[in-house]
Amino acid sequence: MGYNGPEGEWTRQTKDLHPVSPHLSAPEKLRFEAEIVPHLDVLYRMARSVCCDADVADDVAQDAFLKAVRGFGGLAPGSNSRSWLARIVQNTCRDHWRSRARKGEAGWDDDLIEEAETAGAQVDWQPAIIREAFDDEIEQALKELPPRWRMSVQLVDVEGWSYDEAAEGLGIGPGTLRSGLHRARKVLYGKLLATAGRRIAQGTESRE
Amino acid sequence: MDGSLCRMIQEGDHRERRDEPASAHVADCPHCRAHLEGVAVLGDRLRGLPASRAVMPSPLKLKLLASLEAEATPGGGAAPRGVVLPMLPRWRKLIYPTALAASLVLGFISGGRYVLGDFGGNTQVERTIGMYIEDVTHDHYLIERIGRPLEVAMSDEADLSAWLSESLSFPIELPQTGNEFALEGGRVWHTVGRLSAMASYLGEDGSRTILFGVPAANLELKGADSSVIGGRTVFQGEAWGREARVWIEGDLALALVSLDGRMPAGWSTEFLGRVNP
Repeated sequence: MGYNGPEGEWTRQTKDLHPVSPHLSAPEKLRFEAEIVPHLDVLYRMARSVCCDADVADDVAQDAFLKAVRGFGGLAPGSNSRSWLARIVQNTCRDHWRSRARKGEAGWDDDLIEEAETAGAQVDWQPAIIREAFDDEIEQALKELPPRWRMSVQLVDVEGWSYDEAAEGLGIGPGTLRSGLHRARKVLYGKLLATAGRRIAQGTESRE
Repeated sequence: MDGSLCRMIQEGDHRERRDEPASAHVADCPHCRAHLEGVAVLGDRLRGLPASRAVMPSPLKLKLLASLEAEATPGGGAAPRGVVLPMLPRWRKLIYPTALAASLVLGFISGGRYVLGDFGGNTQVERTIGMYIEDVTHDHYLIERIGRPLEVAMSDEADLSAWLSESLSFPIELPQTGNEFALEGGRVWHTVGRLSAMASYLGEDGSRTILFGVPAANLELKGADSSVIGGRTVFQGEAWGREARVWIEGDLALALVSLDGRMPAGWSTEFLGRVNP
C-alpha cells in the first residue's frame, strides 16, 4: 500500500494484500469480525461476572480478546465460535484467579465450592423468597459463589445458552455442568433465604 | 412422591428435558413445581440485574478493535497512510470485473484511482465514490455478514449525535427526522487509522439508508458529479447498485448510502437540508 505523491493516487500491490507475518490474514480478519466481534458484550459480561472488579474485568476482557485474535487462525470454519470464545474467557479468568490464589487470596478451585455448598439450602424452594429479594441481595449472593460456578450461571441463566453449548464453552461435560448449576442455584437460593430471614428479623422488609 | 424422579427433574435441564413422564410428575408434585418455578424466577431475576444488561463500554470496545487492526496489519503497527482495503472475499473478486465494467459504462466515475495488482495484472483501475465508501465502511460484513449493523439502538437524534460525536471526537449533529426516515441506531468502528461511524435510518417503505462518517484522507473527488444541496457541495456515486451521496466535513467524508439500490426520491435532499445546518 502506498501513497504516490501529490496527485493523490493510491496504489495497492499484491504484496500488500498478504501481510508478512500478522496474526490474522485479511480473510481471517473478516471472519473474526463476523464471528467474534458480535460477541464482545458477552465476553465483557462474562469477565465482569467472574472478576467482579471492573478494572480487572477490563484487563481480563482485553487479554481474552488478544488471545482470541492470536488463536483464531486455528479455529476451523464452521466451528462454534461463540463457545470457543467463552472457553478463552474462562481460561483467562481462571488464570487470573489462580494468580490471586498464589498470593494467598481466594482462588478458583474446589475448596471454595465446598465452603459455599455448606451454605446451601436443603429445603423446598419458595419462589416468593426469590421474587421479593432485592437486586443488591441477589448480586451479593452471586458474588459469593465460587467463580467457576458464576461462569456457568452467567452462560446458562443470564445469557440463555443451552446446556450443551455452555458445557462446550466451559470445556466440561453437560452432566458436570448440569450438576454444578444445580448446586450453584441451591447455594444461591440458600443465601437468599438466609438474607430474607435476617431482613424479616430486623424488620426492614418494608425498606424502599 | 418418586424421590429419584424428583432429583432427576430438579437436577436436570428444566428447559430442555420436559419428557412426558417428567411433565406428569411435575403436575402432581408440589416440591418439583415449586423448584422449577423457583429456578425460572431466579433466572428472571438474574437476567433483570443491571450487570446482566451491561454492554462493553465504547472506549474498551474501540481499544480492542484497534488492537485487532494492529494484529492484522503487517508489522503490527499503526495503519499506513492511505486506505487499507480489506482482502476481498472470493465472491467479490468474481463480481468485481463485472461491476467495474458496469460502473465505467454508466459513467459514475470520480477522480480517485487505485492500482489493483491482483485483478487482471497491473491494470490501472478507476474507482467510484461508491466503491471508496464501500471499501472503507466494510459494509459487507457490518451489514450483510453480521446481519446486525447496530451497536447501539437509539431513536433519539440528540442522544445518538452525542454518542457518535464523543466516540469520533468530531461534532456530528444528526437531523431531526420524521416517519419518512426513522433513526434506528448507530455503530462505531476503527478503520484506516481513524475511528469511523454510521447511523442507520429506516424508510417508510422498509428501505435502509446509512449515514457513514469515514476518513476522508486521500479521497479525491475531482471529476465526480456534484450538486449543491443545503449550501454544501455533494458528490454522487454508485457501486454494486447502491446509490451514494458524499460530502466532506473536516477530516471525515460523510456519505449517505442507500442499501436498497436507489435512494428514495427527494430523500437525500430532504436529509441534507437538515443535517448539520
